[in-house]
Amino acid sequence: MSETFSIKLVTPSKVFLETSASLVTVPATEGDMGFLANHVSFISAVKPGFISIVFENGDEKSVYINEGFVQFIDNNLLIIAVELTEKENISSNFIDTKINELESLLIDDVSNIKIQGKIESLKSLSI
Amino acid sequence: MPSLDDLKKRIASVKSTEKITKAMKMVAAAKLRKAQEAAEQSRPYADNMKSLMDSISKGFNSTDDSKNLLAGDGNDSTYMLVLFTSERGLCGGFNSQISKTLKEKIIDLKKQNKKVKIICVGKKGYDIIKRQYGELIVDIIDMSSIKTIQYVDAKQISDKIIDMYFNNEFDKCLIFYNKFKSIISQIPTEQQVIPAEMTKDANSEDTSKDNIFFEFEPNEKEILEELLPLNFAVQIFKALLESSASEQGSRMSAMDNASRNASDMIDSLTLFYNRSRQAVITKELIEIISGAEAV
Repeated sequence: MSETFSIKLVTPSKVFLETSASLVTVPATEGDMGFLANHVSFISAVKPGFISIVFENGDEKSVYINEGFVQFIDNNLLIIAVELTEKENISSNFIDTKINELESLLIDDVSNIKIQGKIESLKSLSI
Repeated sequence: MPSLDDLKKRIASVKSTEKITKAMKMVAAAKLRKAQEAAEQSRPYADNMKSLMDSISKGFNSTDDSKNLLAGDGNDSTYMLVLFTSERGLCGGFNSQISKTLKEKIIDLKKQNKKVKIICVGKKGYDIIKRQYGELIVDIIDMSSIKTIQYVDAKQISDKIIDMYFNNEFDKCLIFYNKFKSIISQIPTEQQVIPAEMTKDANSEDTSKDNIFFEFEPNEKEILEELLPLNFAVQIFKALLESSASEQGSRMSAMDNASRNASDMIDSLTLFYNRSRQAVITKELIEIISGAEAV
């Protein structure tokens, strides 16, 4: 059995998930990051996408993250998110509304690369 | 001396007031439970955010002099004060207490020849402040349509304030809110949010953490650029939640007092009413007896 580490997902309204896992993949801004136990201390911003969590017994779980940050320190993975939703509750409509929201922001600020990047990563998601 | 009829009416009116205050107390108690829960559930987020901020800012030294939310730009001539109050009254000293703290701060800042601007979140604070410092108020944020406070509400407020900051409308931002301690005690709190106040514990226990070297992606500066507005929004969110929990707590104890006063008043009025009634009866009896004796 692979080594595990503790993970914690928090949103402003509650602690979404607090457990231990053997592998977590996070959509970091510079590309997807996989975390195994004993990863080097690490901090990154997160773009919209799915966090996939593999538990010790091999079960998997996928969670949608809107934006946030990930911190790995001493085998503790902390994900601070603005919004988290279980993948089962996500429909293509949900993604479409998110894209529309962001596109309405672009009208005021056409050259905003960050927002464009977010839209791109949302569009590339497959449900 | 009031007539018996007047007394009766008075007792009836106090009784109906008592009914209202009792009902308000019940409602406040129910709302308080919710607000307290929300405030407690948001705490881990704020705490974790703080630890993340700490680990980033520790090693971070702003190399350029650009205006940012972490260190500011060295100026502190204009202060933005954000006052969190309620939309409704009848909550004891809740609004006046925090407004008083704000007024003291204004006087203090004026002595130092600083410019002051005020944003009122909630109508009641505006009502208190406007007579004396009406010309300093730059914005009023109406929360009356919001039933339960969501993160997006805080985000809207914080976006507004951050925009103002980058338009050079102020240099420092302080928020004033009632911190919820218990139902009978709310602590007026003043907190600096821009530039972000980094609490540097000289005798922090875990010095081991200081030496941890983090890998950053993309890089520290870009992460900070994203993290700081988020952190600010979280502070506002926290203030909103604490303030709403305090409001309900304060209302609950105020209404509890009011109900108790009302029931005391009913007791003493009823006693007075009975005595007066007895006096009237005695008087009538004496009149009849003396009338009969005279015949």
